[in-house]
Amino acid sequence: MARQNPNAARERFQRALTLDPSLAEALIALGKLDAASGRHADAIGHLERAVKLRPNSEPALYNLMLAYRNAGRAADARAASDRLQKLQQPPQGEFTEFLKKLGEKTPPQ
Amino acid sequence: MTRAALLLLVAAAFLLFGAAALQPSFENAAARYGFTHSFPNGGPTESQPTKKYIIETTGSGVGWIDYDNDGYLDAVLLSGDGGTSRLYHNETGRKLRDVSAETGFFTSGWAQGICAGDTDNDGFTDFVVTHWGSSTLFHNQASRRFRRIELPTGPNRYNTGCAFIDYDRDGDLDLVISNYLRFDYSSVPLPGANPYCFYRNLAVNCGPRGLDFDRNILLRNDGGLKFTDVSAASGIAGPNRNYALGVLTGDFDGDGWTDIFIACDQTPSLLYINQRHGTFVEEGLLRGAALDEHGKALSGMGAAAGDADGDGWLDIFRTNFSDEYSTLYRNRGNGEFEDATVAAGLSANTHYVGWGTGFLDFDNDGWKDLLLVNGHVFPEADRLPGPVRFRQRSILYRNIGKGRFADVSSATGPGIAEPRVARGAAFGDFDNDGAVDILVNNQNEPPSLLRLQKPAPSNWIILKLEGRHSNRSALGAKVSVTANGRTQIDEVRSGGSYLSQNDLRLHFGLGSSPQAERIEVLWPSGKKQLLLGVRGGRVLLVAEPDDR
Repeated sequence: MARQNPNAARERFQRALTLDPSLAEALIALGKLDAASGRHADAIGHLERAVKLRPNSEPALYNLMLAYRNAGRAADARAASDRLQKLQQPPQGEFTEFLKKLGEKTPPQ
Repeated sequence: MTRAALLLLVAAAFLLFGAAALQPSFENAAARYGFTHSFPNGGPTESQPTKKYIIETTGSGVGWIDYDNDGYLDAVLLSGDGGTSRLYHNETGRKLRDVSAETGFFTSGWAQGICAGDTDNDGFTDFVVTHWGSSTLFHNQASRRFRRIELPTGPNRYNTGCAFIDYDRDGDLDLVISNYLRFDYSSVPLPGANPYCFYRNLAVNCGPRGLDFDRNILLRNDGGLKFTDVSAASGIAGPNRNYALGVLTGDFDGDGWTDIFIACDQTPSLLYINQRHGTFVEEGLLRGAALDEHGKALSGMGAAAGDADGDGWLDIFRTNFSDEYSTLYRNRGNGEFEDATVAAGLSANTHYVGWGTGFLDFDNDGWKDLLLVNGHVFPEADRLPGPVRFRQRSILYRNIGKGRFADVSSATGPGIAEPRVARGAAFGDFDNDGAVDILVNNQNEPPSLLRLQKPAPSNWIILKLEGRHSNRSALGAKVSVTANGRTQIDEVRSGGSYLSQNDLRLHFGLGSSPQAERIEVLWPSGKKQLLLGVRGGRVLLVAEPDDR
């Protein structure tokens, strides 16, 4: 619906937020709608609120990063990108650590 | 029935029949043209019912390479362990003949990827085959023999994709190689050994998650067929938390310097932006080409570049795993991307594990269509309820204009519908009839040759570019073709698809126009070349002008 009828979608997401202002999913959706229609400042506003509510939300951070980028706020985009990168990348040696925790050895071949 | 009603009925029947007759139809013509040999790639076989290790899953690439300059694309098919890769000579588009022994082309072990380019600018196209273990340059000795030159990629690397690239624009070809992960039989667990070795509660081969990462490689061509590893100094080795597979090159930000995109499995894909002084900065995430629209890393395998929406910028299409859809990254300009998959109509197919892919104009209407070949990594998928299967058909999307696509797979012939365990796919017109043919490397089966039973009636032109001041293969040259009032763009590139080499020539559909009104070439040397009123329906050699 968001792509076919953005106005109706916007109305429903806003209504959802009236019922529950902490609904990060609705803020992300509104941010994406605003971004798609070139309303960068509105998009950033919604997405910043979403990130505040859910600091580790990948969809919120990712779309905020894109909104900053599209608005020409390169430094903010890079900072969001760095935060997101930390969330995305599992540490090297994750598997070895995992095995250690389990107290297992590599199975025999 | 009145006479008018009868006429109406006849007209309707004619329209329906006519439309069906005009619908392009792909057949699998592999056996007819001489591709009957199977290429082993681990399980499942009679003695081994499944795939025990991840090395059996990534499969091998395929290349369309005219190694003897006779104007017809020859074919290279790579093999997994237990077989040997093969080179087939194209007998003027009528048959392909195995010439591996007579040309000295031989590989063993787990061959992965292939990429082509004229490394010493002698006029004969060389190629590289990557392996788990090492990578080899096959230097073309004036089309008579191939000389093996081992590349300094380090021992026991899981080299996967590759592409030649003149990243420093010095006129000779450098080489980028992706690395999947660190693999050896002694340390990788067996199926079911830990939680990373399960798929929907079934014990399967382990990885990539849970296995150690590796880094990617850039080899600088120092002349005399010598290469130096500049991975660290160039910034290519920097990101080392990615399971890297398909390599795709292109000038995505339009600054005249070739960039590198690498599709990564279960980790963010990489976009290395060329900084013009011998270094790259990885900006995939920031530029919107690493994740999907939800900020999630998908399982990238292969990748293709093309101008899907006709705005003059190269977009990127990346194939992914099942329960995901393949991703179209639309280039908004200057190399800033957005995930346009849903808006483009490409999000419905989620049961497929996609590998080789390419933008091709199969109906020659001037809009680039998309084809991807599929096949799961777990034979165990067949034991599960639901639509996900081990052998999977191909998918063909027709570009219906301005970056919107329609899935026409079910109406475009038996070749598309055949379920296979496909991996590499190379795109090129092997018989020079104006229709792009797709050679597909299937695991443990003969390859598929997807060929249009009847080429589209629309017009076309194929451009073979030859550099003089630029590298001889013209890698990085940008071409724009104007016909019917529309301008299309493309670039000459090595590698691409999934671990494969497409035709180095560029194919353009011209629609109803018998000629290209205007062809403009921007050579890597900076030289611009303009051709006006160029007749279509032929392969045209475009040599870089001597004057600078």
